[in-house]
Amino acid sequence: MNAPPIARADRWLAVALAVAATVLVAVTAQQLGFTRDEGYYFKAGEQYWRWFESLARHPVEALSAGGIDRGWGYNHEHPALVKTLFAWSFGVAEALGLSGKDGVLHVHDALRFPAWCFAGLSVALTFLLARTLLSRRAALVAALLWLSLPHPFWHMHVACFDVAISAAHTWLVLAYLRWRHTPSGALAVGALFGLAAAVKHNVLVVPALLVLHWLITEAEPVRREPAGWRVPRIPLVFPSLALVGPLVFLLTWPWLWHDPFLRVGQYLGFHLRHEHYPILYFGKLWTHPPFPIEFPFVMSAVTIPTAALVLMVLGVLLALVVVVHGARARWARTPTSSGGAELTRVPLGDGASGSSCDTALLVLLNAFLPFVLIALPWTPIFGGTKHWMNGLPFLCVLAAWALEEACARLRAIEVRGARGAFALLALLVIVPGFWISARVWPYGLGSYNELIGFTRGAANVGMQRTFWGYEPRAALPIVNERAPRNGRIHFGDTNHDSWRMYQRDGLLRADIAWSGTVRGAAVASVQPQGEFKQQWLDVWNEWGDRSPDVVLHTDGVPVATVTVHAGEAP
Amino acid sequence: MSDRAAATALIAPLVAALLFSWLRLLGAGCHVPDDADYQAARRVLEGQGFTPTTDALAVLPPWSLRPLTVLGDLDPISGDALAEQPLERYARLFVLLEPDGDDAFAAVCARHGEPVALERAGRVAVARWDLPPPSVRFDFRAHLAEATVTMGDAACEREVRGGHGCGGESWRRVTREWLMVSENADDAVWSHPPPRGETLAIAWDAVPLGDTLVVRAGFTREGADQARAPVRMRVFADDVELGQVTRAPAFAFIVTRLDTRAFVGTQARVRFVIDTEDNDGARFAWDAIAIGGAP
Repeated sequence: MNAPPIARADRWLAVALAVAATVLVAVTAQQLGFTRDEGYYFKAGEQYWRWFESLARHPVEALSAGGIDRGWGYNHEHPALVKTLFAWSFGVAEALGLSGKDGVLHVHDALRFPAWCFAGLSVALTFLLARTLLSRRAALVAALLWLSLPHPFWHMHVACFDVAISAAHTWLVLAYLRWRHTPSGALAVGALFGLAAAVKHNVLVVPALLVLHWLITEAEPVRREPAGWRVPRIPLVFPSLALVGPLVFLLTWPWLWHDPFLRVGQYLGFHLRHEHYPILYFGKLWTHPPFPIEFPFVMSAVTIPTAALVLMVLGVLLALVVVVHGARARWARTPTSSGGAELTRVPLGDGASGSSCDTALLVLLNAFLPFVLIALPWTPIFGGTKHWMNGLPFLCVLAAWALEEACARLRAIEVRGARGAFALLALLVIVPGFWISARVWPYGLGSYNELIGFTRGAANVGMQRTFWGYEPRAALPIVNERAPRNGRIHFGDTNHDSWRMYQRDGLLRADIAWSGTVRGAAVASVQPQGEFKQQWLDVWNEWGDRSPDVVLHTDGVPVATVTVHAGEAP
Repeated sequence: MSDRAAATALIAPLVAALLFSWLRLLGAGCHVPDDADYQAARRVLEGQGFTPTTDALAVLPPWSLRPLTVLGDLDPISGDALAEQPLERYARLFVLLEPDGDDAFAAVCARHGEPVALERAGRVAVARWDLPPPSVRFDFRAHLAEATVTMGDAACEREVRGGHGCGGESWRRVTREWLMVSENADDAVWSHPPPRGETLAIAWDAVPLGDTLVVRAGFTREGADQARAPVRMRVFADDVELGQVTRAPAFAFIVTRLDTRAFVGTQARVRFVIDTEDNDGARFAWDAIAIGGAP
């Protein structure tokens, strides 16, 4: 039996949350520069759109191996679904005259729009996942908590895949939880897995986790009967994940169509042998593995606002207690083998989609999978918190559960004011995340929490304050004003495609050319930190100039310096 | 578990976290200097007659770069390991102290005593120490262009960035640069050693020596990460070995003081001879001064 349908009010609430979050992200995106990866995805989005145009005009040619390679060969390190949405958003805005020179939108806004929608979707899905398991108010807390987390909130703005994959991971687990028991539901779960895999590779191992969960919680044990060995019946959802998922994945990515096995191998091989991203961590610049196993946990502990972090930890502990209690009951074959519903005043789930114990285990496994994958010593070094961000919606659900349980216990002992405690505590937990984001905006990658002393505290102990080269946008008006005519800009970690987009959208003067080095440039925008510090020293050594025109900073901690070469200034 | 115990276990940590969080958030804004504070600090420096050629200025915490927009032309020295830096070049040390620089400031006070002046400028302060009179008899870094440099058998006669190019790859040079031998860089002499069996020799004729030769040496951060063998720097005065400065790969720009009392008041030919068993990744740099003794 599947879970009961979501109530109409909750569906509308989910839509309202999605729309509100999308609008909030769109409004606050206007100060955010282009990340290094966005430069590539902007380019990919536009190229993919050109392929769709050619498909309409010359379908045979477009669908040929050569046509597909020309259209889809760029940036085949990542699947195409999200970039295809970037493409359509770009193409539709262009066709309607909404973007470009005479349009009301920047080209980059059109390209980013699907990412903002994924941000809204991720909030709605977190709400729906939590609502499947908890009360409406707890679900609201989970969704708003997710939206309030400074690092995810920042990532919601950029045309990348990290929030999209968080949404995709959530939709996969939500679908599995609600629909796996019917044939059509099982097929839908398989298809949604295919779509999730088409967003980014983070979810590729989730089916294994679902199988593990099934083996632990639902599968009948293998036993010998008079007629022979009896093995558990495999639920339809798993063949669907194995067959429908890959089929959908294949359909979304034309680059695979003419040689799927070889190209899937190339795609997976790229990520298994991924380059290492240097990362500054407690004063040491890590450039190659083995990486500290505790890295994703410590980074989360110093970037998630403290109250939210504590509530998540309480949720995890609550889930562990319930899971252990349920497991012991199951092993003891007691009548409480349905697991811990009796242990908490607030069950996690309504019983139709599994016991509290079983559901808590599912949420726990999905919360920690991304952390564990990054923590493995042989995993290539990925420095950003975004790489395990898809575990956070599940932690938000557990946090909301802990808050609901805490308030239920308060009511049970008849504490005065217990009725209003939930709303007050929820507000006090959720606001700090937005507050921290507002303080550091638009440099959200440099946000740290109260435990480490915010961004300044992180700088004191030698943590990474920025990466991805998105910083200089705020300084572009000064560059436009001071750079000599036809001068060149050295853009540090900001990539060539981002420079093109700044010019295309009129944010950077059209005559300012690109320079790969400080030498020969008239302006240098560099990130004086970690792996990019040498470029900052190049400014000092090449130009003998130690007085930057602008130091872009958050909380006084520098994230980029912009220097106009005195000898080249107009 | 009873309702009371469960409620306490869940609510107590949350309330503690909320109190901590909100108090920290409410107080956080007080730690960030305004741009105007740096302007005010400059006025304090000018009021105390700061002279870049004889006075040193450092910013604490060392990662703070915003002051450079206002004070960059005053040629500040690195704030990294300020308490350990040799300051014999300078008559006075000025420190622009921001919130969060307290630990490093305390270390400077432990080394040089309390500052003789401490003036607030908004959320920053300017501290001043009057140092013993400058006692530098010869600044090797400043006189690099006058040195004779050889790498192996080859003379490094090509002018590169005001220093010496030894041909071939760009690492074959001896140049004065800002180098990341500390987290926020120091003004030092790049001296990547040649392959095993060869030496890099940097020599000056007629160097006036005092009683001590102070050498600061170490690897750049990249070098500390990539080098495979220690780098040895032998220092000679008139072919007498004064001592060796050996650095294993590490990210630390450390001071070694060599005894030159035997040469006080004389002028000697001073040679730095640098070698290593494996020069792969050995991005090495140094800074040196001859100090002390009778003028």
